[in-house]
Amino acid sequence: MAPVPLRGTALLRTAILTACTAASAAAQVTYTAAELSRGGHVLRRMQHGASVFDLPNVLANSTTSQATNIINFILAKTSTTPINAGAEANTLLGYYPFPIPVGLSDPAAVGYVPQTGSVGWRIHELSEAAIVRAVWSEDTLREVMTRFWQEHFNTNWGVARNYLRNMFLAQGYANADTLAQEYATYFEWQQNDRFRMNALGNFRALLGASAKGVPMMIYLDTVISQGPKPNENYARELFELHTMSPRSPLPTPLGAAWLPNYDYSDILAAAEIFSGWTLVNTSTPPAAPNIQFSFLPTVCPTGTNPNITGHVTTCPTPGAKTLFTAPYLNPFVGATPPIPENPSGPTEGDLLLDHLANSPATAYFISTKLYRLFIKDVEPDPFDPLLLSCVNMWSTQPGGNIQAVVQTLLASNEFLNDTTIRWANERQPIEAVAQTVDIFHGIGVNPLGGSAAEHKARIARVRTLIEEYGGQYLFRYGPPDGFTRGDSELLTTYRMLGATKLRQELYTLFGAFTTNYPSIYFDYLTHLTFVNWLDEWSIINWFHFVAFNNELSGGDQTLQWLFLATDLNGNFGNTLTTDFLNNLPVFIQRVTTGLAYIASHPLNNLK
Amino acid sequence: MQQPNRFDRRAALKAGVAGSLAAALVRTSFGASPAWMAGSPHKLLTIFLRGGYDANSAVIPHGDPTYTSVNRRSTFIPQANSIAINGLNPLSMGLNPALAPIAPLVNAATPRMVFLHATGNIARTGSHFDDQRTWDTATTQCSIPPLFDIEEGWITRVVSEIFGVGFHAASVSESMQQMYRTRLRPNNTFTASRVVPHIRALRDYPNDAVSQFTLDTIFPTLDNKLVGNAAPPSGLRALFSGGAGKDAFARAVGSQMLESAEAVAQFVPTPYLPLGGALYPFGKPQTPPNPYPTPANAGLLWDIELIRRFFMNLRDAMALLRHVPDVNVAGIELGGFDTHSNQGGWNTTTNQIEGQLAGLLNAVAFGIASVDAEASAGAFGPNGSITVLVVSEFGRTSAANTSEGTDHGAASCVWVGNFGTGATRVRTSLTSGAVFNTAATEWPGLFSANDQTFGCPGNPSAPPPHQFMKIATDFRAVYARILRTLYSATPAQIDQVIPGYSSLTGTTAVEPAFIV
Repeated sequence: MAPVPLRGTALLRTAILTACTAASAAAQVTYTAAELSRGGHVLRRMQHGASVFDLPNVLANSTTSQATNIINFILAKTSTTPINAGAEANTLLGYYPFPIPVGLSDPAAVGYVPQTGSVGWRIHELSEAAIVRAVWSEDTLREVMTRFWQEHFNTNWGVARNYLRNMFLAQGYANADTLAQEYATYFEWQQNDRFRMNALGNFRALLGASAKGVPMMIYLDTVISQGPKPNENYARELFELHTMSPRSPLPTPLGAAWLPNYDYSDILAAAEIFSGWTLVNTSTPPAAPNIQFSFLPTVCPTGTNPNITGHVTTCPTPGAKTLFTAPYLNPFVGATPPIPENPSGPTEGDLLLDHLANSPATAYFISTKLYRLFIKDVEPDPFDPLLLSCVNMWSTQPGGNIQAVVQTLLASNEFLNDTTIRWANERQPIEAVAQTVDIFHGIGVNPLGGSAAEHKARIARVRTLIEEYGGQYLFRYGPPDGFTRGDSELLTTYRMLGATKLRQELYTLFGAFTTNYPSIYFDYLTHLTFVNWLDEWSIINWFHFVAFNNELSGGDQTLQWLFLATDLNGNFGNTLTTDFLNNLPVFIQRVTTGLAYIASHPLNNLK
Repeated sequence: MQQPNRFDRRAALKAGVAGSLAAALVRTSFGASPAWMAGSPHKLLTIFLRGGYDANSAVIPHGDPTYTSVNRRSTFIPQANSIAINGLNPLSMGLNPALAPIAPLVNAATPRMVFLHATGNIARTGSHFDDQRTWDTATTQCSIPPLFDIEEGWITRVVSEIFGVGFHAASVSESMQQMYRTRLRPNNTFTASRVVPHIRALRDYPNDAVSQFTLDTIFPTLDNKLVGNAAPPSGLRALFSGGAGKDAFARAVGSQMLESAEAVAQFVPTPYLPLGGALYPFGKPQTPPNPYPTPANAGLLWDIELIRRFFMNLRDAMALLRHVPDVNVAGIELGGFDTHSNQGGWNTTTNQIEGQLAGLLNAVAFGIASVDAEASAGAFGPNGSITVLVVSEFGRTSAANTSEGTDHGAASCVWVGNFGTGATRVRTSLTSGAVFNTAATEWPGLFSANDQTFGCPGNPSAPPPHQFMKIATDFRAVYARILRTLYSATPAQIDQVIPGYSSLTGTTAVEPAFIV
């Protein structure tokens, strides 16, 4: 039997328009396919896992279909005070012990949530709360940016736990293990919420929250770095990963010359500058610990060590330090002003952070990372005009204006109109989850149904799926550059296998859930009945609509049609179209299998 | 028309009923091996120690006058407590006690394992990411953008430029190692043959980890039609073909996923049965009882989960190398070597080796001893062997810091072993025995990184003060020697794998004769 010619485009268009209309009481607006495609793209990049079901919701709240209005709509929510994740997310977050921000209170401020309030806090639940936000928060762009900063300033809960456990044991706490787990969770929460608060704010604030945060001070050894030969770990990663990156381009008649931004001498100087930053417990057992930042200037002998042949010691040189002065460094960076030794007021480290946050090299590096996050995840041209615009916008605020940089990217012609970059960035596992759950949400699965215990169990299962099949352990990444990004890392055979399996498990998880409430299959039928489709065409196009906003090729559509048009033995001529309800079991199996089929599609790994 | 039942076909293949058909299918699906590689009985296992391990705490230069307890602080290991290296040993080199499992391989009458000390990257920057990329890609990275993270690996080039299309190599690791990565170029083009599988057990199935990498695991409920046939493409196989740009790349990866999963299902037995009493600890079943950890070395364990996964990946790599016909190269890795603090050393109070570094080294040594046990029992046939190559992105500072760790240095130490039932192909140095570059005229000295010619142009690798050891041998010479000797690669082929290799000059480019 020859394949039946496709007639999907018109039906799909109807499907989207119907969905848009159904989701909104507003007057029906007709959108072109190009507008819908662009809107879908905007949503996918600005949210964790947007599906087309978000489109009608956003369009219903926008004055027109223009992508810029969608962006403005999302940005308006992001800049709203107080931070509001929305009713659904807040309901779900209420099942966890962590405070839900009700204003722009600094979670590190005295009295906001005391460290002693962390009793019973678990890192797994913090991960699950992050998943809830990724999937259900209405403050979508803020969550995307919060995760961006969490990975940019990566720390590891386990490292903090181990350090705190040893500290508490040494100080005589009887319950050191439990305390360490709870306090490490507390400080990861605190740091994450400070990133959330400043997600589209000022870079210097983010840098400071990281540098003086308990997780980072432990993770990169600042807490134990002392003279006369301080630990270089934080100094190096501060330059390389958090601010400038190793090198920047300098325009030359022959093109970009990539010159170093710093050298080993600068790393040694910075290590000396940060030595003395430490953490102290201002309580004594049995009183609950109270961990505070402290500065203990290093007392360091000067001179060389006569016991070391051929080795010049690195005792800090008394007096002011000036960094980034080597002649081979990129002049783009600029030497620091002399940083005095043990100044009054801000510490030496604070002064260095001030310089780094305002350095054009930092502006360039962070802008490049944001370019790759929102525009396309390939190396931009070194002097891409959009990139240089971002660098300029950085300096519109001392310390780095993040919102201006992000808005510049989102308003760009590249972002809005370059169709070649659509479906070209990779999804992380948590994004795959958000997208998949969003699909279920979109088709009527109510995330608020059931008890708190049922919800927590389900979200916990989602977390384990992300970990087991995606290898993504939130708050526990090992390398200092956070979870992997980029095609060569995320698009591998294992990642694809894991991503496929992850989605199939999610279908099972939420499918089982819906059988206890309104059956997901009943939802299918309702939806299909509503639009008066009771043939395989409707099923195919509905799948496309749900999963890909109909950007599949004709060949892929044909494949899916062939699958659904055949019976369980692969033969054509089933009776789905002629006696639909009597063949419901076959239909259900075909739908289930079809969902898995869609889950296997390579596009599912892209956004 | 009904499609053939792939499960029945596979069962038949496993039973040997259609052995010739199996070979034909493999050749058809995965492509033919090149002439220079065809039939090679020599396998290569790469082990990357991520984080830059402290080479001078593993293979210890007791004869260097600056290797002192003052410089080394708590990382110091007295000569009396290290494992002496037999034979010619001009610098009184010793092995960290945690390396005891490989000591018999090094100290055998005919050593099966040697060390290339003071080997490294002349363009070293001290960045983990820069320097790992350099070792992974066999290219120096003096002039690249900071986020240039998509360069293909040198093993990938071995596969694509020389082997051809097929399942010839695999990265068996938690993350895809860049050594095995495929590059998607900025203009969204790529070569399908460059997609090297990344394999890892989906979940922790202790009995048969790698055999979980199969279509049955992915699609347990799907029928035959969905998986489809290769020619003409149908089902998933059709889904994973075609496309353009990133979509095409994703589809090629999906296609490789199907091919490698089918190959695993066809050839890898369940459960995997190690030969020669080899053990991959923390897996099951444990018969005979697993001796690792014993009470004596339990204190060495640093991160049990990290080490457990290392052993699982090693076992799976061995399963692929032994059983999947075309797989010639596999790579595993172990992280945690970035020991900026509390690195550990010889504890004079407890009188034993302690700390994070020792725990990691002990695991690697135990694993290599298992590989030797399997190869010596004939895992690769009477004429076959396996070469184990252990590398790390850089060495560390020669004096400990005040948080009892070491920071990023330059020269490292490469380990090479060759194991099998025949004579080993490993050779010791005529001037310094089992540890190359340690004769008086060769050893650069622990604080020797004062040569401003190292590093990228205009940006010396080690401006003063000089805290670490400079490089005596370029790591690319080690790679080239392996390709030249094991696989008879021509200079042109080596230049394909290691760009610009034939134009390297100077003493660092001299290939040490560590393998024949």
